[in-house]
Amino acid sequence: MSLPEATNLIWSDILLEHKQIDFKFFAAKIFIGNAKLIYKDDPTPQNLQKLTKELRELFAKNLNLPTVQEDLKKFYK
Amino acid sequence: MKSRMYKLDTLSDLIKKGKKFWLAADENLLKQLPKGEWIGGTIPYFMADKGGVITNNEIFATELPDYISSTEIKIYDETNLKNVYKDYSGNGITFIIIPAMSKSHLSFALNAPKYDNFANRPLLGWISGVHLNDLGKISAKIINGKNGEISDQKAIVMNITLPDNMISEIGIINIFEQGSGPCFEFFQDGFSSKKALVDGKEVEFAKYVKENKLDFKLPLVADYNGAMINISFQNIDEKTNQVNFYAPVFRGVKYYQAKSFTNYVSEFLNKTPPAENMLFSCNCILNFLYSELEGKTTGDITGPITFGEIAYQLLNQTLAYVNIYKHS
Repeated sequence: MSLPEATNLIWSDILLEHKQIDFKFFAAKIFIGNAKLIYKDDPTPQNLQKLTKELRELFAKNLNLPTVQEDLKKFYK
Repeated sequence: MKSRMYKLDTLSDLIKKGKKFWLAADENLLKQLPKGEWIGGTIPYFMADKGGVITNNEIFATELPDYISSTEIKIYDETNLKNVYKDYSGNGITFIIIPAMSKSHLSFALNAPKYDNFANRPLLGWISGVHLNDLGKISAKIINGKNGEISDQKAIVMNITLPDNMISEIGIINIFEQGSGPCFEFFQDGFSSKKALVDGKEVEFAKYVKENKLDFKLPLVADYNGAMINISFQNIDEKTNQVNFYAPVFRGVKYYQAKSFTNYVSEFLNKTPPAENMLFSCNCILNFLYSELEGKTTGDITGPITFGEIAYQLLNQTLAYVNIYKHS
């Protein structure tokens, strides 16, 4: 499963809870859980862009994990 | 993977042969080991092959596999620990040990989720401790096997590099789930709280805890996007009238006290993944004590019993582990 581009709205939709995904990848859970708190304190477009970039990088670095592959399938459901 | 208890002499021989280790043991044992490619933290509690054990006579050692191409040891204090996620990149694991109640412990606990590049690299480790009878008498420590440096304030990190065809994944086993009781929220980040919101109503938290007889064995549980993160109760400070925790509560997070359960071991085994890919795991001293794990086994899972677990950030009453997989 390939990774959505950085410009894909899926990344911000996940952080803004417009898209609910039951993640298997533990690092994604804990990153997103904290990123939501950080965004709540600083809800600027710049901060959202930074956090979505970091979220995508987390997935990009771990594409070979079975849990990440499983999670990516859920992006389009 | 080779993680087990060793006698001093046997482990010393392996270190002299150039084997690389992550170690956990009593301070006196760690000090006697030869210099080499290892880091260690103090603790006398372990989950060994034969079950939970308290000993000052053996060392729990995780031997790093030969395919690990490089290791780098670094000491951090509370001022530069914020760089722990960005100091290394590439395919590998950052393994960290921090002494309990040190400045670096407090700093990491409060700030790790806000560090630059948080969670960008697998960060796993534990909080070193002492025998509970020695609390307040001796301090928890870390030791750098390469040069013998010992600290009760600084964190030690070993970064390991994995081959390109291998990848690691950190996971946790938390048997606690959010209960159906009230929602707790706190006004500021910290290891203690005087006031809280309980279902939106402001209360004196210590008074609330006493009046409602909250069971301190059951942690507060926050849902981090599906990851259940515990905050363990420590005590009530009657002088300051505040409730103390073993990890910080965070402003903006909704906590619920955990549901009770009857048998830790069976609950744990129900949630335990296969151990064949597990390089390292550690479990919490509170699980060891409250569930009376001395003499009991938890499947194939072994490791130090710790004063806090680290899986990207500080955890409580949780087992943290790292698996290593081959991929094509």
